[in-house]
Formats: sequence, C-alpha cells, structure tokens
Amino acid sequence: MIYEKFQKDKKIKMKKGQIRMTETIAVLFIFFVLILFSLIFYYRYSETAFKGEQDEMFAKKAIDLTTKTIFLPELLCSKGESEAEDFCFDMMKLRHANKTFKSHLSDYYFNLFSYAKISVQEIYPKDEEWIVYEKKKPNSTRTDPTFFVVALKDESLGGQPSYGFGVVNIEVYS
Amino acid sequence: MNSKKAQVSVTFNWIYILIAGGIILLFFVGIIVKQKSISEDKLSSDVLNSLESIFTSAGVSEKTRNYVDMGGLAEQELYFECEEGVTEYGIEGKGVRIQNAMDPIFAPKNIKAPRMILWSLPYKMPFRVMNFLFVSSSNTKYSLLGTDQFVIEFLNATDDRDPQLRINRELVSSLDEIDPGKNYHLRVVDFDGLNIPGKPIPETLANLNDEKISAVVFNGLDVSYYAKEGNKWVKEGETVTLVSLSGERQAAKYAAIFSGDGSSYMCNIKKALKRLSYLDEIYLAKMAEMKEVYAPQHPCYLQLIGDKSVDTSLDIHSVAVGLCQTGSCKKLVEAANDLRLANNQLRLASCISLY
Repeated sequence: MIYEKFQKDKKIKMKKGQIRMTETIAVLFIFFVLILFSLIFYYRYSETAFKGEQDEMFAKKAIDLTTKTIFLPELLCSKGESEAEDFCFDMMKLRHANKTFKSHLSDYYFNLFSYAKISVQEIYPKDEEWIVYEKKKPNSTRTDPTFFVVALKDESLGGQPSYGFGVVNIEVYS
Repeated sequence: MNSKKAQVSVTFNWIYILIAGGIILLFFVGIIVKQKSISEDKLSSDVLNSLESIFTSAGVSEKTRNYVDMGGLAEQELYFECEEGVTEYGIEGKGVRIQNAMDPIFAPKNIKAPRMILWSLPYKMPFRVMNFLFVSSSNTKYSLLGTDQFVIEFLNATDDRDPQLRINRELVSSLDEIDPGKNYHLRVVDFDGLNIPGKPIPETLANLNDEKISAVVFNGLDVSYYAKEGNKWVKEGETVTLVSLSGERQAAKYAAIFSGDGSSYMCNIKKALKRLSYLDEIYLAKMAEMKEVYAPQHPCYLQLIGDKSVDTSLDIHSVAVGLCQTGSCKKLVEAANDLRLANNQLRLASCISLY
C-alpha cells in the first residue's frame, strides 16, 4: 500500500518535472526565435541603410564631378585677364585635353575624376563626339549619367570665334 | 533538513539572479558604449564628408565667399595640415580624416569656432590654374600692420555687407594696439617686415598661450612665419617665396596670410604648380593649332612667333614651371609676365589669343 502510494507520488512528480522541462524548452525556444527575428530585422535594416548611404555617396560623387568638370581650366573658355566665360568649352583646348588626361591619368587626373567617363557631344554646328576622359571600373554594376549643356567656342575657323553648342555627358561608375 | 535545503536553494537563486542580471546589464551597457562611439565616429565622418563637398563647390566657383555653421561641432577642434602634397583635415582626437591631394586649401593649423568662413580666389600664372580656397573662422583674427598698398586691398577684399561673411580683421599701427579679445587664434600680419623680426612681444599678447598667436612677415616676395615663445618671436621653418604676378588680387599673397605655416603654404602651392605643368601641355598643343590657322605672311602669324612672342614665352614658361617645382621660382614669374604681355598684344591685334 505504502509502496503503491510512493510509486504514484513518484509518477506525479515525474510528470510535473516533464511539464516544467517542456515549459523551459518552450520558453527558451521562443526566446531564441525572438533573438533570431531581431537579428534578421537588424540585418535587413543595416542592409537598407547601407544601400541608402551608398546611393547618397554615389549621387554626391556625381554632383562633385559635374561641378569640377564644368569649371575645368583645361577646357574653359578664357578671356585674357577677365573672368572665364561660364559654361563654355574652348574647342582648341578640348581637342587636346584627352591626350594630357591620358598621359597623366595615374599620377594626377585619376585623383580628380576617379572612375568616370566624360564626353562632349557637339550638337551644333557639327555632330561630333569627344571622349575627354575615361577610366572604367572593373566589375562596375551601374553608371549614373549627368548631362549639361555648354557653349563650344572654336577660333580655328578663320581666326574669329564661332560658337556652337553641345552636351557634356558625365558618367560615374559605381 | 528540508528547510536547510530551501534556504540554500533561495540563496543560490538570488546569487544566480544577481550574476545573470549583472552579465545582462554589462552586455547592454557595452552595446550602448560601443554604439555611442560608432555614432560619434559616424557623425564626424558625415560632417567631414559634407565639408569635403562644400570645399569642392567653394573651390571651383571663382571669387566666392560662404560660411559654414558648425552647429554641434563648434566645440570640436578641426585640424588642417599639408605634407608631401596631401592636405589632411579632420576632427582632433577622432580617427576620421579627409585627405586631398588636388585642391590647394590654405587654412590655420587649428579651428574651433561656431562659424567657418570659406573664400576662393583664382590663381593665375598668367592663365587661370585653379582656385585657391582660403579657410578661416569667426574667431580667427587677423591684425594687419604696415603701410603697404596691399593692406587696403586686403581690408576691402575681406569686407562684406553680410557680417557673417566678413573676415575678422583689424588694421593697427603697432603691436601694442592689438586687442586679442576672446578669439581662438590671433594672426599678426606684418606687411613691411619691420614690426615682428627681433621685436619683443607686448605684455597684452605675451600673456596669451603660445599656440594662440602666430605671425606672418612679408619682405618683398619673401614670406616668413613666426611663432610665439614666451615673450619673443621665433622664426618657424624656412622663408618661402611668393609665386605670384604683380597686380590686384594676388591669390598667392592672400594664401600666405591664411596659411598655418610656411611648409603647408609651399605644400599647397606645389599642388598648383603640378596642375600648371599639365595645363602648359594643353596650351602648347593649342599654340600649335593656332599657328596652323594663319598663313605664314599673316600679321597674326608673325605675332605668334619670334622673340618675346607667345610661342617662345610659353616654351620658356613650361621649362620654368619644372624648375619651380624643384625650388627656383624666379624664372617662372618672369616667364609668366612675358607670356601675359605677349597674350595681351595678341588680343589687342584681334588675333586668336592663347588664353
């Protein structure tokens, strides 16, 4: 009789223990699931934030490069001691700039333009394109082109300045 | 027996809770400290990146002056230095910094101010090479001494209707008149070269910390920098030479005033000389094309060639740029002057001009 009662108590205690263990395991499981969810959420958030920052930096790089190109003394139309003509490229400089940019690419101009392509498309009077600078980025995934209209001054035609116009295309490789 | 077991169990539970709680608390404190340091570094990096963009846009547009409100960074110290052709600036004590090997940035060694003032002037030798960017602050004061014509030009050029864009400067007749006020740095500019070398520092300035005051002395084309040591002036580094043409708005002369010291001045000037040598290549190519435009008997063609012409002056100029990069700049100033004259003659004769 006593033995049977002891066995019954033991069974009840074991059952209680099993229930507690299951409870503990369930709590731990939910705890780890919550941690996992938090980690996934944080990773996704970081990824989006990082991508956003990269896009912002890329846009900033494109704006900086456009600003630099438009005011490049290697291309700008000058007027002696006066201030240079705004948004105007001197064709007599433009035709030769590429050679200088190429020959000093690694020691100077790469620091200025980085991975980019700068070209000038003449629209009037002729239809011609000049690639001023080009340095492709290996495994580049995207490019961001910026267009800017400029006047093109050419004095090689009879010694008098004649003005045309064209578009500067600045592509930044990311 | 059972009661003893329970006592041990309860004590153990509390110790366990304390240890586990402490570890969890430490973990979160660690995360907060780490996050705080990351946020501070990120803020510094963001600010410096913004500054880089502001410097780029201020540097490309001619003769512009603008200011940057430092906001939360007003209490942080920014440093500027230039070594081996690379300008470096950042926030003192932080790992984040920006390096710039292209743009000449003339700035005091340190700035700690609520407002930073940026000013750009074109550097011409004789054609435009690039814009020099001058960096100053609302609490960097320039005390001007001397009777040189340039003093008036400097006063006018640094004035502005908007007080936030006005450079903090004053004209004084002697060192005793200088009032340092509550400025972070005082730069004494001696245009005659008679007020600083060998002269004692008056009592009003002698009480200032040595790093709070510096001087720049002009003697013709020579520029020397002085630092304060107690109550005397001590020359800092070698005398540097102004690589500049005569006339108004000599960017190289303004640069010497805003530069922290002689070595950073020359470091930034060398950036401009490097660019000048590449510009010469383009102008030499343009010159060759200009000669093809005119027939050999054309009056413009005759102006292009010969002694003291644009052609010969440009050749001499390109050689002189190379010499200047290695030390002697006298020939470059002469060649640039000759080129300017020859180019002006071409313009007067309505021929194609070089620049």
